[in-house]
Amino acid sequence: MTTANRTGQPEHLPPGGPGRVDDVDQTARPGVPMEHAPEPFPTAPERVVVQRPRVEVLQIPGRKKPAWVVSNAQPPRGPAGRMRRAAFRIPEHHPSHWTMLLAADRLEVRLHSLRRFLGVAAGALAGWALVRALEERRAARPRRPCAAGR
Amino acid sequence: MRALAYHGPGKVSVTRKPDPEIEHPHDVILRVTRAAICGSDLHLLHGLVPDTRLGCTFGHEFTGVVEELGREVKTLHRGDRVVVPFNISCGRCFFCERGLFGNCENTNPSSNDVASGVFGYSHSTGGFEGAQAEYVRVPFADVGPTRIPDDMDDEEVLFLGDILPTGYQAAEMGEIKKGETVIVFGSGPVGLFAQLSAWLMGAGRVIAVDRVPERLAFAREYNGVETLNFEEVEDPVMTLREMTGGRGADVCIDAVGMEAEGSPFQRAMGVKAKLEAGAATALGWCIQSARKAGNVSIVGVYGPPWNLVPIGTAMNKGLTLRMNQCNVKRYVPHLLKHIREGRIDARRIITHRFPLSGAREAYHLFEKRTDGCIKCVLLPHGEG
Repeated sequence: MTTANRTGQPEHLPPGGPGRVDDVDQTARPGVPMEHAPEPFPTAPERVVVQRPRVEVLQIPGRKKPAWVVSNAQPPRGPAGRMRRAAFRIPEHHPSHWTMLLAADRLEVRLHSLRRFLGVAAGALAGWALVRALEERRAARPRRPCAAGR
Repeated sequence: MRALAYHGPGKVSVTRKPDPEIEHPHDVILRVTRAAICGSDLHLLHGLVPDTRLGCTFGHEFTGVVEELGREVKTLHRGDRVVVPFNISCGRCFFCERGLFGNCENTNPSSNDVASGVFGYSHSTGGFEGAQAEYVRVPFADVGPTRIPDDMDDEEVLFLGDILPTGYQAAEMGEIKKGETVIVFGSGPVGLFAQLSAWLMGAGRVIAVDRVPERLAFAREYNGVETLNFEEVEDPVMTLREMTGGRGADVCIDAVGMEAEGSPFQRAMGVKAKLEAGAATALGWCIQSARKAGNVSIVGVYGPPWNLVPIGTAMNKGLTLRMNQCNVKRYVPHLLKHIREGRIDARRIITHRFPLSGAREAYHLFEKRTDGCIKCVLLPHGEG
């Protein structure tokens, strides 16, 4: 731990070099004030069409207009999707909106794991049944007499 | 294409996904050349961000080359190299017109309260696919991306997409005046840039607080700051008060967010039981370590719906609390100038580079903070 205080102790100044205090003037800082007078961004599009989603996009209640762009990735699906749809019927200032979404996340993971487990289990069961069937078939086949010689 | 995919808390892998397509006339498709792993990606990895759906691709800090253009894109051309802000902003809404690009109201259908659309950051920020992939779709390409100057390489400017402007905005929101004492909680990438920015704004003292010795050593070496390892002291707030003459710091910056260490109670409530949105330990320490009438600046990520924060202390001390998602686009020209003139060497914080196929290993290394890891960068198309 390095300690010092502002009176008497050595100052902990940054490594030397010009311009280290370039932005002392608060008015020269690019984000001051954080909210400036409205002005259009110079290269912003003049006219925007609203993107039509290809999948179901959940929208928070209370939005007055649709978002101009959306993502078509990972639409709500299955039981977790149903839970997400239910969550999106609740405004986001209610904690239940968020807790339901977190619960849906966990449910999706559990169901995914379960599906994978069942897939592996079904594969193993099918393999075992196949081996058993082959064995039974082999056992049921009439044995050929052994070649003479002894 | 190959892309990182999320499979549940702690699990990611690289899988095959369909190539992104132009879905809106203002889109471009980028071939991703560099994609960083951000500290806030770990919140996703740990399942702390609501509506993080299986199969989604993370990655919101990246550079790339324009491969395809929507028919209305006017300022970019095929082959342009660009760095892209993590915010997706329309440039025209109430907030964008006032410089609040991180609060754009036209790019996130899922929330009015969380943020604008963000690349690769759950469906709470719109569900847009991230850039830890070979290709990525970038909406509103005439607003967000900035062309990389021909004489600069991608890694010099990569962090203009998030952590460098975020660290700078953190210091700026602290309203630092010449000679003031600044405490920065968190010495990860954002914290490092907040420390550096505090110097640029004329701070007289900068104190970095963390628990990872290698990160504190790096902060001392990279930024020439004082450091405090909070695990080496009994009471970090008392120690910081002693270090600041008993009064507290003029400005405290929270560059940690929801997975803070330091309070078993907060960890149990927020990270394990999820009864609050993560552990707000660093924010509590900010409020407790600031002097009366000081400023607290928050850029650490916290989720909805609530956190246990000593707001009464903040009120009684007359603190000013300032916070926001970074309005990246506003800072890019200014910080580009700092990089070009040698005042900020952002590339130096990259400690590890991985091909996309090594993404899982990169996440685990970054998560464990082993091997002196400060920042991991993925190269989806190799060095080229």
